[in-house]
Amino acid sequence: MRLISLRHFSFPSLITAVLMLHAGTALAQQGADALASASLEDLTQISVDVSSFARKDQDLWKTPAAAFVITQQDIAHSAASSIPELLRMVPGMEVDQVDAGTWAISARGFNSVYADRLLVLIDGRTLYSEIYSGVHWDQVDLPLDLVERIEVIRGPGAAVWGANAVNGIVNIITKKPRKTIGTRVSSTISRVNDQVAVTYGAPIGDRVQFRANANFVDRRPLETSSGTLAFDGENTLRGGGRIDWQRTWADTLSLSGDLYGGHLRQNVLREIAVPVGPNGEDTGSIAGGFLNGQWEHKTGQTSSAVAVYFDDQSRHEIGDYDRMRTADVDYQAHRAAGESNDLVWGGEFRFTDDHTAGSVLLTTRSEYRHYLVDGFLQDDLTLVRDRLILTLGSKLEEGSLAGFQVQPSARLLWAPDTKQSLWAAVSRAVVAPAIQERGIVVPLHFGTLDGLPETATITGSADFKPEYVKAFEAGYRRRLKHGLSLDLAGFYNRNYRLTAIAVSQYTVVPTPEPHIAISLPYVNGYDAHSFGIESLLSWDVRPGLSFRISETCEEAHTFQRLPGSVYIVDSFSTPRNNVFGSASWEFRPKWSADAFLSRVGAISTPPVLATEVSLQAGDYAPAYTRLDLHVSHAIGHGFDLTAGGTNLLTPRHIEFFDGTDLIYPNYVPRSLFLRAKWSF
Amino acid sequence: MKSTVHRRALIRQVRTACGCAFAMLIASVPASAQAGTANEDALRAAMLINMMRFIEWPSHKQDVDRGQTVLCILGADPIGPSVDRIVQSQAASGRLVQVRHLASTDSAGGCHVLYVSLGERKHVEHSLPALVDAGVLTVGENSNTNTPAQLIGLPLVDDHIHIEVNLPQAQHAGFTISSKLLRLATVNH
Repeated sequence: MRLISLRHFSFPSLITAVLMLHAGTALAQQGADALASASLEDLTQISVDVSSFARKDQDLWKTPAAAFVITQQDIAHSAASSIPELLRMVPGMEVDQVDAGTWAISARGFNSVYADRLLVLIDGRTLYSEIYSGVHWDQVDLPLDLVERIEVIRGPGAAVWGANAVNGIVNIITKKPRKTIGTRVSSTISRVNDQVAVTYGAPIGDRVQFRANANFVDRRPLETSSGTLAFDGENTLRGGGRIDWQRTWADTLSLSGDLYGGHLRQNVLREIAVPVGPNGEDTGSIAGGFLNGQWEHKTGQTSSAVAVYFDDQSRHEIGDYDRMRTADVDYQAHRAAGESNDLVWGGEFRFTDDHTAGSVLLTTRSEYRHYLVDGFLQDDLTLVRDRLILTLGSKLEEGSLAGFQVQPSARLLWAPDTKQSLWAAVSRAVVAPAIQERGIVVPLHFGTLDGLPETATITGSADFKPEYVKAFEAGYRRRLKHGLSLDLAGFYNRNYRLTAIAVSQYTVVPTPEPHIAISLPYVNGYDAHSFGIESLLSWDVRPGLSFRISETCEEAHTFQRLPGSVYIVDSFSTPRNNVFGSASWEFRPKWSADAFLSRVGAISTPPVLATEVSLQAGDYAPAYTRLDLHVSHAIGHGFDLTAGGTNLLTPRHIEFFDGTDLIYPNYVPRSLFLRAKWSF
Repeated sequence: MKSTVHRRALIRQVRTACGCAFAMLIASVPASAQAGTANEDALRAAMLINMMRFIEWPSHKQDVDRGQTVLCILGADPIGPSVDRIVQSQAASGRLVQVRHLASTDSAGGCHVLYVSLGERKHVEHSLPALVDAGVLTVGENSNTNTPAQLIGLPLVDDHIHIEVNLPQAQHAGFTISSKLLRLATVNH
């Protein structure tokens, strides 16, 4: 094949050319009548809806957003033994393990241990910590056996989900108890992670099913750069249950709850003036639980749901104790209005009580109380039946963290036929400031300057404004012949009011003993333009053999918006390039082999405080290649065995480092694992 | 410095060209048809009813059926409302399917098809083999693997519902399953 000259080739003309190539039948979401008259062959071709994008069931291919679903098959074919590790298979997702129990996870850049632009939900319950401004992934340790699917949307979803759904949404949906009837025991042994999970489910009468589950996870220490065991590690014990009652055909009531607790060890930056070991060794504990009640009413094409949850989480670390209690009531409804409108709306009330304590109080107050009231409405307006759909929506919220916010979104989906769809979107989304930005007080000591001790304090600012993003996105999906499919998405985000630290004048304080004091207040110091392209090519060669290739290229340009010495905290901290490929092959009945190979580029953003604190030049995260391989065998009688290894190519590598986190990163070692599952 | 800039520009051009070539390659492959999406329960209900026309029951079962096929659903299953709706709409066009919602297997002997809800599976495992021998086609949501005495499974695999047929057991019980159905199904041997 001869490559033609592409010098004068423009992207819009390419899109036009692609779209003009084919015209066919229209995309359709199948109603009951259509299904009744469809042939069995057609029925086997119809796929099942996803629900995360617009809080209603809809076609993944008709979703005007960058969406990806991790299915149970994906979980079974993955070497991952935890939810954060599973997310590595999502195109455009940046997953970096920082230490045994800490991950930095984000999409579309601005990654950090406390990435606050990603909204993570389990069955509608948000996991965001408004004290730390992020998600504690070590608390997301539910057994993978209980996961029905994980829907991941990249880009803003704030029009229906609200603040912090800025760069993405991870919606973890657990299995209904009717799908976990019986007893399951699963156990993993590996260099990095030992765990055992037991689940028992049973029906009570005709319409009620319940399950109880318990799991223990021991995350072993990672390594230092020289290969010795690092001072980290975490073990957690979790117990929980769920009961579902199908009261009538249309109504389902569900109640779920968990209790967990554990111990952790970690390295924190030595410069923090809190009681930790000489090299920043810190031991702590976590505890918490939740109760989540849901009522769902579904009739034909309409549905409504009420969810009430109470969540309690506490952490004892870095000499500090904090506890966050959340009570939340949420209502949502979905209804078609006429031929061309499909409405989703809802409202929510949330109250949180945050408490901090410790020998060194890391916040200005020990009690914070916050409320959030919000409502949303989104309409899918069909302009041309099944071909051109305009989605307009917005969330309005009023709360003590982000104030009054309007987060609108407009999306257009054009499906010229059933094989391809093109979408574009404009949205505004807000990151609610956390207590971290408003009320934190972190004392640091930097040694001596001119013979005087040098100290600094990172302080929150009461007038810190919410960061917001104007996001412009577009995407293209196409089903090709021979089981090939392509999913492309591009984004251009304008990020405003990013978190930064302003360095004030050095002052000499004479008491209690003469020292130099530096004030480091949090300010909305930077703006940024970030942009990138995410691609996924999937090839289902035949049942039992499939491949995926994905590449994500992204970068950001930051602009200082305040004069003076201002250092960005919300650095991009994401590789320019991330490529992965995976293969899954059932090479004989009951045997399968899986491979995952990724090349993750270096994180080039320089650490913020590197010149001030004890970081070495080698502490940047260079590029690394990761290979996971494993073989699974279904032995029979419900017994499955998997053996393999993760990170096989190198003895160890560091995945994340941006110098803005208090947690000191460790090296992820090569690991072999053995996993056994037994269901009876 | 200047040469670095030139090299970067060149690299960028090559990258753009590669990207476009890749997109054109994709665009040049003909696309395949696809059939849209549906709610999982409605889809499974439609498959269950549609599938019945590809099954021939053992002769002793045909003698007693008087032209009517009895579809039983054991336990409260989310496919129930969809099954009722489809059967009602088909009754208007003269197809005779009777739906019975059962709470136990005691009266399941009269069923042609017994769809066992997941919640009931463990309860009734022991009574299924006898029902299969009596000419009841046992169907369930789970895969046939680890579900003995289930002749047909309708599991969700990725985002599609698959059909699994336990052919040896079905044949042993006297069922004849059309090759059309077998062609679409995964056959357990």
